[in-house]
Amino acid sequence: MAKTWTRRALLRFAGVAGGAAVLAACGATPTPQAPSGQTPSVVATASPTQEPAPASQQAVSLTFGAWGDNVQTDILNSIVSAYEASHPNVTISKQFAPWDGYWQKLQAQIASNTAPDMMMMSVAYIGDFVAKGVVLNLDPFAEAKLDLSRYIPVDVSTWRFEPKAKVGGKGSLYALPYDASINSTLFYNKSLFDKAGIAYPSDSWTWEKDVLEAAKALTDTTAGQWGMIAPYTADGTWTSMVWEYGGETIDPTYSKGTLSEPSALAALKVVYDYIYKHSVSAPPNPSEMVNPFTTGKVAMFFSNCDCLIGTFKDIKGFEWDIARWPKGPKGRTVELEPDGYSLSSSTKHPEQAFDLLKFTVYDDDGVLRQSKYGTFPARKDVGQSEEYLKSPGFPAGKKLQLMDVAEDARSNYFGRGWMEWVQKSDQALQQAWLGKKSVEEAAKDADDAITKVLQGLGESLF
Amino acid sequence: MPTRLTEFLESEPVAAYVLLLPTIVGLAFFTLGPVLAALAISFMRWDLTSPPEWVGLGNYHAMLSLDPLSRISFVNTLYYVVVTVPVGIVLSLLLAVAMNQKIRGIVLYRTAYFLPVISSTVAVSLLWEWLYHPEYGLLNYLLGLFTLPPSKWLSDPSTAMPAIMIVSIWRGLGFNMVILLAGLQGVPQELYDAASIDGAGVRSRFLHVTLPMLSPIIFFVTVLSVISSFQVFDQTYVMTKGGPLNATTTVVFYIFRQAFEWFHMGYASALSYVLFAIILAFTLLQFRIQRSWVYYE
Amino acid sequence: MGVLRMSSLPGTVTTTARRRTRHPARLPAVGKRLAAHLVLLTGSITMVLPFAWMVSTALKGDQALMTYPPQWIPNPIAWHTFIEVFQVQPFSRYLGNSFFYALLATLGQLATCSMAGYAFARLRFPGRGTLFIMLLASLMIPYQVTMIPVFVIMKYLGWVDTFKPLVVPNWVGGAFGTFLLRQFFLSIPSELMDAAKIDGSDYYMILARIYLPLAGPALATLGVFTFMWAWNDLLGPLIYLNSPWNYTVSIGLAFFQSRRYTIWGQMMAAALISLVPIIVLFLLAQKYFVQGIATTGLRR
Repeated sequence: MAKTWTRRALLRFAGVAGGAAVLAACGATPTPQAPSGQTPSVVATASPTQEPAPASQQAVSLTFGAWGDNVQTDILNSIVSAYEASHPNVTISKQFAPWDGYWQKLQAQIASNTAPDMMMMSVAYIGDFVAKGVVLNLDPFAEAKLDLSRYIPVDVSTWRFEPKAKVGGKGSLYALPYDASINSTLFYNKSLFDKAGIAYPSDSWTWEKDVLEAAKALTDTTAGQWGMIAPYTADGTWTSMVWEYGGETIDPTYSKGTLSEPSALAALKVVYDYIYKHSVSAPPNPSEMVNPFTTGKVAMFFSNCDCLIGTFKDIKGFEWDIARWPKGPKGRTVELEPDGYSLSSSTKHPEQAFDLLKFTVYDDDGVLRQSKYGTFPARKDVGQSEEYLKSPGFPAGKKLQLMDVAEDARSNYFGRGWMEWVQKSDQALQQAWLGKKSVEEAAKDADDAITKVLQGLGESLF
Repeated sequence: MPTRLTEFLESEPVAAYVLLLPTIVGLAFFTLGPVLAALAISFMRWDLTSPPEWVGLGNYHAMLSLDPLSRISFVNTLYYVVVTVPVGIVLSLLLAVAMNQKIRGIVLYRTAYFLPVISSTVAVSLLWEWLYHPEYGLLNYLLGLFTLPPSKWLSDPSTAMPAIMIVSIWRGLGFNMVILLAGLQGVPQELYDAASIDGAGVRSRFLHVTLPMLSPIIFFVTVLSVISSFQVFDQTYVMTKGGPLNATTTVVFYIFRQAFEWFHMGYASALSYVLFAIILAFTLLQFRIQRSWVYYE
Repeated sequence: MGVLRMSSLPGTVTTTARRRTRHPARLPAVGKRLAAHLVLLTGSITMVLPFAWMVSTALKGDQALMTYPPQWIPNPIAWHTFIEVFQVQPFSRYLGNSFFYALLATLGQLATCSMAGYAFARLRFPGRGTLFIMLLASLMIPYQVTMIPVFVIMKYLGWVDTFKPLVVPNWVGGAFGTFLLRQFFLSIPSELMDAAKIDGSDYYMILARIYLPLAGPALATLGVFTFMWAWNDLLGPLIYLNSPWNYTVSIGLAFFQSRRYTIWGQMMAAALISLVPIIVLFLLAQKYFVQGIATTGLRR
């Protein structure tokens, strides 16, 4: 039989094919088309507000990790280019990832000791990262070079941790903020208010009187219209209500949950009653991928102010606006959540990395570029500037945010095990929101969950 | 002229190992190492950066007696497997047979059924969120037309898992259909012809020709469906985030949460080993009983 | 009704049939066919719904808000959304990268899984059972726990920020493909192999000249699935690739979602564009979904 395929040939083919593929994979990493600004030989033309380049001129390479969508990454790209242009000896490798998956990537990098020199950081994880020694203590740099009073106070204190502390608030600084995201914003459907002839929410609105009255007048179940979506969502909108009633989620020693205490419970009861006693709120739908406010059938909605720059900006079916967060018996307290940047504790160039950090979130240039995304800047003066207030976006919203941060703003006990106790307490309270348990019982369950997490920090197996 | 070397290489066991060389390399480097590492981690408390701490069987003990949520997640997962695997396979088998007809436009039908498999999870989830919406959703509207009471679907703990199951079965139909369709191509037409001559009707041909000849592929689909449905994650993460009230918290969802959100990597590894043991037991059982129903040539 | 008994030689079937059945009445048969078609049609409409949703959302462009009840026909129709996708991202670069990676992965799986599947199906060797179970076991550990150890291995190999961690594992076997091809090969009569051995072929030639040509449908299936998985893989490219010019389509799609909201119009347009290669591949693969000629080798 004529063998066109000899056995040797077949074996050789298999081997060569396999080897060739591996080689092809090795050699075929696409030739880098370096984006402009990457070559270190660009001549620097320092702008007047630029601080002089560091004394050491040896070539330094930094890695910069961040999350973002296309708009945010464009902004960060421009910041990186600007920095490289004025610091010709520095090369920055960008590792910008989408929000979905960023934390898994970062954790894989941390576990293999390849964390980026400068990384975007969220308060949700900062407590754990500080406890693990993953992020660099910024005190030596910050004290020498920065005037931290430029920032909104809460935005900075949230990133401060004392050694072994469970919750932040004071101590050494581990990140610098770039925005101030306000979790407590009231959105209302102007068209629905107009149709019912009700006055718009004002600065003096309270939960149990004005909000409830308006919600009752605006609820019409036959038309599928609801006065509100009760602030039961995981964003912790009820967190600030608890504060407004004089309660706390966690006790001052941060070792147990205190949602069962009368003052906190009173706030939770208000939310519960909206749903089950007065029936002014749409029933909770925990799987909302789509914002129900956009249907035009909900008169009031309580959520994070970032909805302004995204979800709601394209609403065309009705008029809407935002209003100040309603007050409780003890006044108004708004919940604030900054995002920021940290440096890796294993960075080989702490000085240079800090310089990049400063350029990105402290100097005018970087802060102004970031504010173009629409989130409220962490630097007070920029937030108050004409440039920011007049830039495209939502002027009324910006002014309100200004007032909010000027008054009492607090952050949600960010620290170690935050994701765990927040998720567990949320699930416990969901029992009440879904009508399976009373508020008292659910609050007790939530307290138990919080206590267990806070007391087992670093010791618990699961 | 056959040399000693070629004789060696052409012998049955050696040929097998030559052909299996890439697979063995892969198993050794990319499977065995990480799997053993994960096993070691399951005996420790580890949060990614602090030095791991040996706790022996502590994680396993915690799983079995201290953590009610782990039991819930296993029960949820078992519920999911027991329903979706049989229903999915029977439906996709019927579908594959239907798609095997040589009528015009059958390729369009096949593509239609394959689309959900390749569509983005986000699009699929959005669609079903709308279908399932308690107030504005299509399904409750249809129920209303038949004067049936509306369901809370994803919003209620008792209906959330069945709702997820429906989505999974619906999505998996195209996947298994393609595999079974490929298998159907291997059934010789002569057998069908002979059966028809004998007077066998459609059902008899299906039971006595199709099923036996297709059984190796059906076996494949069954084993793989069991393995993958025990590890269901995407649907529960995107659509309900394990809720409401942990009704859709599956084992892998719980593993993800423990590992990446709560930093208990040791516990997560222990959970995954228990899951592994369960899946392995089911798989070995299936291999054991295949002799009684799978027909190999 | 006749009873079919399989003889040991496929292609020849002996029967013990004696009676012929009457033809069933025509009308019910047509009715049944119509009902079957109706069911299939309804089914395929529900299957196409997410696709239709994506098209509708993409064509709404900026107006792409999810409203209840949803608005299916966009007004105005924003065709330019598809162009925008390429303007806000280097999307064509992502498409090229994904194609490169998925193609290499697919070729690797086709080659190594057919070799391994054949070995497990038709060759006898020590350790066959154990090795096969080990291979299957690799499917039973969720990736969440092996992800970090594998990443550490890849880091030590120096493969981070290259395509190697994504492609190379596809050239060293695969449980799904091997198992599929094993089952497929097991349903090809072993007599073909015996005959070829008598003719003097060795095991490699039998694989190349007999089994592979008959494995068209299985290879086409494996090819489509591997390509699809590689193409849609998000976590792999995300954790291993750092430089933006290496990014894949899956990462590009995720960039349309920020932390608190999603740009639906552009994202669905991008998702639709990214569906096209897989659909094309699926249609091409249909050519191989034809009846094998397993029995012709025995016609003497």
